[in-house]
Amino acid sequence: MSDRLVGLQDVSFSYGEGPTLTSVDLDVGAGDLIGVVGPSGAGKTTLLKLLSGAETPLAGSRTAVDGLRIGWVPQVETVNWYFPVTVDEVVLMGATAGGSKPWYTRAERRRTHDLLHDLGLGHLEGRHIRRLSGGQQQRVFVARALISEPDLIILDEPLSGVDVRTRQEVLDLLEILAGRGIAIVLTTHDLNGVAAHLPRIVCVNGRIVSDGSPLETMTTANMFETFGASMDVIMHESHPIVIDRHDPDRTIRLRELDRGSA
Amino acid sequence: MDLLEPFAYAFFRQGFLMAVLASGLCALVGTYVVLRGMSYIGHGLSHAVFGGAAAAFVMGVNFFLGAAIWGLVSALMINRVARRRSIGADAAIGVITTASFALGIAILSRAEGFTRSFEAALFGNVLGVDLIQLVTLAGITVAVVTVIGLYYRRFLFLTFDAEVAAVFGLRVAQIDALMAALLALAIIGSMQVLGVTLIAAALVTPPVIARLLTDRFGTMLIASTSIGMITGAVGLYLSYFLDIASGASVVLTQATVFVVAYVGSALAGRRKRLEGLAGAH
Repeated sequence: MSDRLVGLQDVSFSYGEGPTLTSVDLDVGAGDLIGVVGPSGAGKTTLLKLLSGAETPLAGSRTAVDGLRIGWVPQVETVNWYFPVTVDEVVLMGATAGGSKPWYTRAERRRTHDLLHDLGLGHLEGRHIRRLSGGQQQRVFVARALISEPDLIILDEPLSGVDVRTRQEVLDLLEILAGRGIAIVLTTHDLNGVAAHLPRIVCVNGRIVSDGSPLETMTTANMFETFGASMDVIMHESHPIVIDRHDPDRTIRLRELDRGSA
Repeated sequence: MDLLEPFAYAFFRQGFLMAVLASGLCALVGTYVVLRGMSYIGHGLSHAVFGGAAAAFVMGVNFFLGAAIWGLVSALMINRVARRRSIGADAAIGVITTASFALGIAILSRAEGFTRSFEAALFGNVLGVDLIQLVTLAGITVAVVTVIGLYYRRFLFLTFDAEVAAVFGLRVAQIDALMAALLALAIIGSMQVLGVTLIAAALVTPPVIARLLTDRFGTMLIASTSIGMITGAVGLYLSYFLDIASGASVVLTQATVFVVAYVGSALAGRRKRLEGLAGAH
């Protein structure tokens, strides 16, 4: 890993009903491309918020290099798609902090135009955000993150609810950005997508279960410890592939549970 | 009938300016209120301000000062309580502002000689407008427009997505408080002409009409303010001939425009879909 941009040291956090995360150690360096996986409620989004500084650790510490610039790409489900805002207006939001002028400068407009052009959205500047495809919507928010010239981009579930083509587009784009030295951290439920595209996976379930390359982290034991579910891991072209294991005993247990509640 | 007759009276000219300014101001600030899904705050805060005004009257303090302090404190308290996710903004507004309104009524019911002003404060009365109120409203309008001009980008980001705005380095709590202060100021300035009970409509209706007309934030802000000013002028003008309360007249004018815009946009949407269908063949 290259020089550390931001790190969590022995961090614990809670929203009040039991610990959300315990004793987390995580370092993010320039050009890192990290996928955070784990079940719902495992603390993935909380981990992102702690990394970004949006939440403060209750125990342990967060260290970041001076002047660290962070771009955040929200989960599509949390975006108000009916808000009256066009593609260029969204991108320009990213240039709002950091002593920006009250009005949009010519340089900011040019940069917005160039960024949208680079991301294949050049013809959509004045379009309302709801009138875009899933992949285009993701790219608009990536453009908003990029306009702030970030050292680190954090993406919360960028692959949720998107089709296969969009997923590939998003992951390819993130690989390119990481290649330019921008650190990328994303959360996802798409185990095979991240195993194929990302060099580093962090498995989370209230703590960090494992942190390393897909080969190191995507093991049957780690998957069980992270998700509490039985999964088989097979290899395909040197990438691990996680497949759901059919468990007849589980089906029987669920039927019994069903009968019990009836 | 002389259509220019009302303008012969000084009180009407002052009231007319007041209505245009108050409606435009409410429509401008209301754009943020509507887009943040806090339409109820206008209703609540105007009632809360009434409590402050009543207390100021009884204590012999300047009406605007009492209302301003009370309104600001209420707005900040709402912001604070609404941040507790288990409570939510609507409930926070309900609790704080109705208590404040009730306090105002309680104070007034013990006081004497406030009946006429009481009615004016509730329903709006252009007859009660004096030059000081007009100058105060003009001052508030200049201040609010200036702050919105300076904070346009930050207000937009915060209104669109406050949580992400914080990650991008915006000081969300401070900007939130500033927005609350602008809202309180707009309500205080407009109270005399629009009335406590009708300010909420003046805050919400023009932005909603503007939203039907555009998908762009900047355009919506300008359209909403223009609609507010025009309906304020038309509403006040009609109130003279129809002999009804100024606030009610302005709000009814806005409601009429809303109906027209709603039907018009529905028809336009249908035509666009049909054109899309034809284009597909």
